[in-house]
Amino acid sequence: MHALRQLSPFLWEIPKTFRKDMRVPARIYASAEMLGHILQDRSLEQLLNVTTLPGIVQYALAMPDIHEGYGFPVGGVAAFDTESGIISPGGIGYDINCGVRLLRSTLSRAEVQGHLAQLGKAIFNRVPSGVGKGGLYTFRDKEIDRVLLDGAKRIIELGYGSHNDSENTESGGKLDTADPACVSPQAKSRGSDQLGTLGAGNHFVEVEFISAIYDNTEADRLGLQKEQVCVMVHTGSRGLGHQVATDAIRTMNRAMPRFGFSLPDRELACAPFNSPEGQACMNAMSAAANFAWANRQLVTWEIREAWKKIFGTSETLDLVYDIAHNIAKLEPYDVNSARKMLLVHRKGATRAFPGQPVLIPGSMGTGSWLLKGHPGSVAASFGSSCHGAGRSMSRTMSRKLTRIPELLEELAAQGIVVNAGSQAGLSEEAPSAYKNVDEVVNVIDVCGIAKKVARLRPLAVIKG
Amino acid sequence: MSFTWLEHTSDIRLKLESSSFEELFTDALRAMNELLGPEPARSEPGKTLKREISIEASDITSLLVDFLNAVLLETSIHKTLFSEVVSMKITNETISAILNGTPCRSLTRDIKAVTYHEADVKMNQAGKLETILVFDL
Repeated sequence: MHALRQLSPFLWEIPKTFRKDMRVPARIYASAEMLGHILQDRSLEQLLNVTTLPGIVQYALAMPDIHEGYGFPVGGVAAFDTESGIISPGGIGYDINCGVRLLRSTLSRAEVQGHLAQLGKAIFNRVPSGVGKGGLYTFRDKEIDRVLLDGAKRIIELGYGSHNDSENTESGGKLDTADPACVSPQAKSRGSDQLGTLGAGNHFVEVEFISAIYDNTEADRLGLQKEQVCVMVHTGSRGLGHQVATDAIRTMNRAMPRFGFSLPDRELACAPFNSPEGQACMNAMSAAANFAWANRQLVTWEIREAWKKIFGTSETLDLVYDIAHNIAKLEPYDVNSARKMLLVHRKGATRAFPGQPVLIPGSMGTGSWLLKGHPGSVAASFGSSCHGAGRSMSRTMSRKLTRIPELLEELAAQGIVVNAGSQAGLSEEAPSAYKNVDEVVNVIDVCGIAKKVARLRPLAVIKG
Repeated sequence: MSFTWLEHTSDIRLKLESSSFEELFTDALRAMNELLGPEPARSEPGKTLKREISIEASDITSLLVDFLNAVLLETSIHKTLFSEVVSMKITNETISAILNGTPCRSLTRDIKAVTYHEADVKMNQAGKLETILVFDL
């Protein structure tokens, strides 16, 4: 694309003069090679569409794991002035507050190795997973409203965690902008039996070990060392969040003629943040985000129960950190020498505030990264980082090209135990369908957004 | 009936080509059910559930997407595939349909939502109603 200007080895810009309707430039964090792949789908076109949204501040940003979504690309970040700007549910995603958390054990790889098969089965049996699979608990009426209001804290109050868990969760596991009354009864019905469940698709629980440490000081601070076994959890707001997003996009599409917006894609449907529709969207999204944190908290309890079953009741799994990667947050930034509250949309992107742990899961079998937010992240990307490896191949193609027995053999050869509810799901999530997470993380590290702390490699994968 | 599954990096796209509004909506429903859970062995024989879906939208494209999302919601809540169209009345901006469904012990695939992305119902050169639909998986 001739309009791309290289600003630094891993930062590119398309100026706002490229298209008449652009309000700000578009910036892409990527290597030249990654850019070649990015140009093969419509993610850049979608990023340019984001630059047209009212009230957008400075740039629309693409993280190095960007790929085509709908409306916003996945791996996109955009911040909006809360007085003059909009909120867009498409800038958050249908799986509101899909995110990851990392738990650390007191055990080493050597101590866990001989128990992997049992451990994988115990977690698979304990954590409900799979398409539409309900959990062990059903929350209705006032109880579901308490969860929507208080998020992970409500689950902890009910006895399924500790104060340490909420302390180490982004936003304490709860957004104060939540209002359960803004969540439809249909959304509550869709999610009533889904707390404490993993779901399917690319959601997982993964037992990992720390294979390398890059920042000894930070690793010590987090209580991490080489060979230590950890557990990563990836899941979100399940059916409740999906319905909240569906409801919001429908409402906004119907309201948009009143606002006089003309947008290149219906999935960019938005409303002024200060409008009744905008506030209702924020309140509902926040409630769904709280539901997701509650979900990850209950899944954590289930994993801890499975862990104790295998290793004894004195063994613990402590939360290192929990982050969201589909969310909109109110955050203060300096804009043109003034302190302004902005609504930062991160769709397939995570917060990476200075000093904050940043969790980047790879694809199945490749493991994950732990980074630490760098002071440069605020200016570089509204304190935002990539969220994972990003898909490079469609599900259909991945299913065609992947032979399950060969995939399982490859993983077994690496010593990785797999417990999965769906073979089709496995083939769609094969490592070959994803970008190289090491290369993606490298861009984030070199650009000064977040710095590497530890590399983790998988030992057991549990999927729906 | 005419629909084709197309490539998409992270989700799945569907191309529909139909002779009438009724056929378009029925084909889309059939395609969505094919994606959700086509295995009859997982159904519980003898039980059916009837649901009435009434939707208003600003145009036929929104109507189609909103209709499918309304059926998806019912499927998610009741764990039921609504594959039989008992009756369907459609205008450019409204649909009223009665569907019969079969409860399932489990479904094959999760659909988060039917998106508006690329959706644009229009007449093609062959005189058929055509649109793309993208399902978020």
